[in-house]
Amino acid sequence: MAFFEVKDLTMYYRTLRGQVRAVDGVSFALDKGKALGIAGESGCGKSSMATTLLRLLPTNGQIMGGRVLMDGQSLLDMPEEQFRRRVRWKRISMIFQGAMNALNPVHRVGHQIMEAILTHEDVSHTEARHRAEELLAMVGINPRRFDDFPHEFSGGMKQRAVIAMALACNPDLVIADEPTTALDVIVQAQVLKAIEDLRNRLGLSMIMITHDLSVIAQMCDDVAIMYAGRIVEYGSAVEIYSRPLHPYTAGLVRAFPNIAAGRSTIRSIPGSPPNLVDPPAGCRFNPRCPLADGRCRAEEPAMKVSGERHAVACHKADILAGGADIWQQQHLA
Amino acid sequence: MATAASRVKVDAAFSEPLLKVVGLVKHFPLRRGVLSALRGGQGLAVRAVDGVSFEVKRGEILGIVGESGCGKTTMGRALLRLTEPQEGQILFDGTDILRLSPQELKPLRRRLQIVFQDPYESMNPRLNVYRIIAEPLRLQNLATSRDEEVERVRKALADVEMTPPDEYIYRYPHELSGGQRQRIAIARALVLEPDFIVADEPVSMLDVSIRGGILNLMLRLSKEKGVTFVYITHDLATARHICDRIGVMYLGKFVEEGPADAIVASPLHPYTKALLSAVLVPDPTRKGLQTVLPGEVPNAVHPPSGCRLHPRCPLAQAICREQEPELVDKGDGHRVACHFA
Amino acid sequence: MLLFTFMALAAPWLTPYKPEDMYLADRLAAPVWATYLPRFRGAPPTMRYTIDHDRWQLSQQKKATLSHEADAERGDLTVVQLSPVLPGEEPASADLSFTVHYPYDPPQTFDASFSYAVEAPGDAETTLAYVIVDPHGTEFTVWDATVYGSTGWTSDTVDSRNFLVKNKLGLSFFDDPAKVVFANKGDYRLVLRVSSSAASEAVRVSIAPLQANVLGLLHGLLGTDHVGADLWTQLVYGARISLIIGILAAVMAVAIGTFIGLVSGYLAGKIDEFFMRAADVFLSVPTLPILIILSAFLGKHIGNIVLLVAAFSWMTTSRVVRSQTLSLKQRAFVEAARAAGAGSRYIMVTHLLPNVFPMVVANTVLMMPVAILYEAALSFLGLGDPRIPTWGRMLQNARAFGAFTDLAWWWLIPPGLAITLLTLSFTLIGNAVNEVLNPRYRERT
Repeated sequence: MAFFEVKDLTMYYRTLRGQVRAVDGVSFALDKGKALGIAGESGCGKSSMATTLLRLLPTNGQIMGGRVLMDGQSLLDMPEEQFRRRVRWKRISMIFQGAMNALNPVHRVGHQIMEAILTHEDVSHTEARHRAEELLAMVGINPRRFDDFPHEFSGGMKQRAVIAMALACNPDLVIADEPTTALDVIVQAQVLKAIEDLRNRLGLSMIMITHDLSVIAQMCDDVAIMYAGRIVEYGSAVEIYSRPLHPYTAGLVRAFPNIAAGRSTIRSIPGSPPNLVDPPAGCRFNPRCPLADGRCRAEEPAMKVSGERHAVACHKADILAGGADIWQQQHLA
Repeated sequence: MATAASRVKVDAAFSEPLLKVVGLVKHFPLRRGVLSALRGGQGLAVRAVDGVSFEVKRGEILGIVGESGCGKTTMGRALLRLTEPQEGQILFDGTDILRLSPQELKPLRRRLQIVFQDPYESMNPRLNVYRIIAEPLRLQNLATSRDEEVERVRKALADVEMTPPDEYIYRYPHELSGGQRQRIAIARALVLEPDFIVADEPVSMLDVSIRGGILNLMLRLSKEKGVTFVYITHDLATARHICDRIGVMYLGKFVEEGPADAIVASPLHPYTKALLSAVLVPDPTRKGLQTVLPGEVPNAVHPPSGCRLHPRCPLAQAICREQEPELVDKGDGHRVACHFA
Repeated sequence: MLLFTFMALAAPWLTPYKPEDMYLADRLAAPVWATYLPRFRGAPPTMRYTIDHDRWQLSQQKKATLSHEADAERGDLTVVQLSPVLPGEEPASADLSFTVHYPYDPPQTFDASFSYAVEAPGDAETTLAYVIVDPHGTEFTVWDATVYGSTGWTSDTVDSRNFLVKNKLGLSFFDDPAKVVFANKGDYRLVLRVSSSAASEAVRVSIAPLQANVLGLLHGLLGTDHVGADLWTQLVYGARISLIIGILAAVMAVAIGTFIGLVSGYLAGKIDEFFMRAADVFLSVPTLPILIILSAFLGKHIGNIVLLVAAFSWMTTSRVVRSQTLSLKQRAFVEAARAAGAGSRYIMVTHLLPNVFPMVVANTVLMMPVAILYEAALSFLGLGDPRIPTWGRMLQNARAFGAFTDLAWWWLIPPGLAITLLTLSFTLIGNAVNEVLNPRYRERT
């Protein structure tokens, strides 16, 4: 039994336009100490899934079904109070997107970390302060900057401070939602390295949510590719990047220009992600897929295992398994 | 059939720089306190562009790469005189556009255009696609009749692959996706048939799978119409794939400049090397996380003395603190500003 | 809001009266529905009777006959023919009665007007008397006249406020005949007593239709003011004026403000300084006093009020528009227009104005109650145009003509309430407009 399991998680938003099917039957599993990357572009529902796992949904969000298990214990049907006291931030914590803005500009940074500790644990102020200073050091910030205000920190430092806050209560699992998107590339490298070091030192399990396949390639053991609220391909990083079986994955991987390789055309996928209120019938990727046929438009493919540690939801997976480069036909557009 | 002489002439024409920037300086003055103003002298300023010189040849794509705060966006805007530089020359086809009066400048704007970073912001949300694209035509009085205007708008839409044009003409920006909006922005820039387009981070706000489409479009426009591009970005990987030449900026100055392949294959400046190694590769078998350069980009109000990288540079020596290195050509148009390159 | 607009537009149909109609009821009459309140439970409504031949009843007669005649000018005449009497005999007389059922408290006034003509021989002595008989049979002669011989058409009125009437009833100047006469509840008879002692010939007394009124203490939906004019009418017509003034002044103020805000925000520099300091000056002047002074100076014309209110209300709009302009002019699409060669005027009109527009609309709606209140204030202080009925003027009249002393709440409350409600409705709408039109939907794919 895996350490953290999600089964058929479904979450919809109620809006004036109808139900937005943000997370539609998502399943994955994570072993202790490993990192899973969830890759997807805007509108695929990955951020929604992150907030669902922490049960931090907005008022119009509704969990429609599914199970989330941590060490065998079901998290979704736990009473809110119990979840808040025992799980949220103590066993699972989150690094939010745009985390630099999560720091209150009028409070000192160190105090904000202390606050995170004091809210969730029953410890004295001195001890909380001590732990906060330790955390700062752990993320590579000089503890003497405990009393600084956020504006005195640079962007990368703010991000690392937020990471420290996420680690305040020694969680077992950290969900990172686009942790480095707003950062410059050199700073991104610094922050990612800090996260990597922490993972190794503390034995953290991690779910990294991002659109940047390069980041996932560097940081994660397993990858789940999300599209329009569902997971379309799932497997180990090496498998997915070298042998993508889903047309979307293939397109996405080729869309990241590899600076180490020679000059080549940057690939792209025509069209845009679907409306989650009224997703396409059948396979949700079919409007953009060069391989789509009648069956794809009518029947939603189920997740099928294909090889060791590799599962894909596509009727045409065999074509890609044969090594065909299906995106080559497109002209330079 | 072209004779040898005319071919030489054509080659020569194509090898003259279309744009030549000399010593461009743009500061943004900060508000001064009363005492500071009384004391006189120059107040504090954000030194966004602090002495930049380069050339862009006709028909080529020059990439300007740098992290946030290096001044690349300011420079892009300065090239179109959307912001007034304090010093320097911008010679477009031989004419210094900084010395022109507003009346003289206006017709020149036909030949210089810009595509902005934010596809959501760069268009007036209350205008439909037709009006957005037709606006430059109207401002420049280029279309003699309504029919001609419609023709040109449609052609612009076709050029950016938004076909059939009629399907998009009456839509509003909020009805289109990010990628589509950016194509409209490019169409708007193209409708005047400019010689030169500054593209300021045109794809950084788009989804990854769409970026290729836009960048390849730019490439194609460059090849087919001979449009010269300046592609401003922080993403060295994409710059490498579509640019002929790349200039690397740090804190308002060029630190290295040269052919794209040379920059990526054999970088000479420590900063360029750091940038390259920081760029992540989407290949799980090649793990390369390392701290490439400590610290962060310093404040542009008080740049470090001498070489601006010296507080962070692993090669820094005393001379780096004291003397600012000049851009020196190391052969084949590959220039670098470092004492130890 | 809708209610008031409807009122303003439908004014002529909502009330049969015009604001100028007076004496519709007694002064300060309460609304009809006020009977629910104890103080007014027995109050009489206005009763008007036109009594002509059909309605007179001959209740008593001696040697008299009644007939009728049509007269082109005066309508249906009632003719009493009195036979001659012998000297020493009682005079011939006729009592024309008209019964009125009166179950109410005493009114404050009553009146009657009539015309009569007498054809009689020279020696005849004809007496006409107007008598009111109360339910208990007590007779109150309120008017009489003696005619010697003939007389042509004579008109006369009986008005209980008249001293003559009071005198006739034996009351002092300060007493109220109505209260005395109509003290009881029940059936009253209005009697026109005609008698004559003519020896030689018959006497013909022609009586034109008699108009008898009891001015009620109840009238209409909102009662009456000090001259008996219907207050509901005033309210309804006042709605028109208030709305027009509000809208006009607000639109003007906002137009000025928007123009200044755009120009100031976009062009910055000295122009900005100038306009903003001007705004400061206008803002620092205490508005109501200056409005008072200036309107007293310029004269009480409705146009002046609109202009003045607009001239002192543009500042907030200009500030708001200016700040919006400042942020808008940084946005990329403005730069894009500049990159294509757009001039300042083009940018302001084509790009900035439409994007500022939602805020301008919201501002306009929110400015209207301000304009209305200023106008009401000025009218209340007596500086309004007396020819135009507005709610402010209603309040002013109320104050000046005794509504407070007599506690005529039906005069005081409706205009004030109307102003409050209208202002409130504008404000709520303005807030709603603001919420809806503010930029929000940034749909990111």
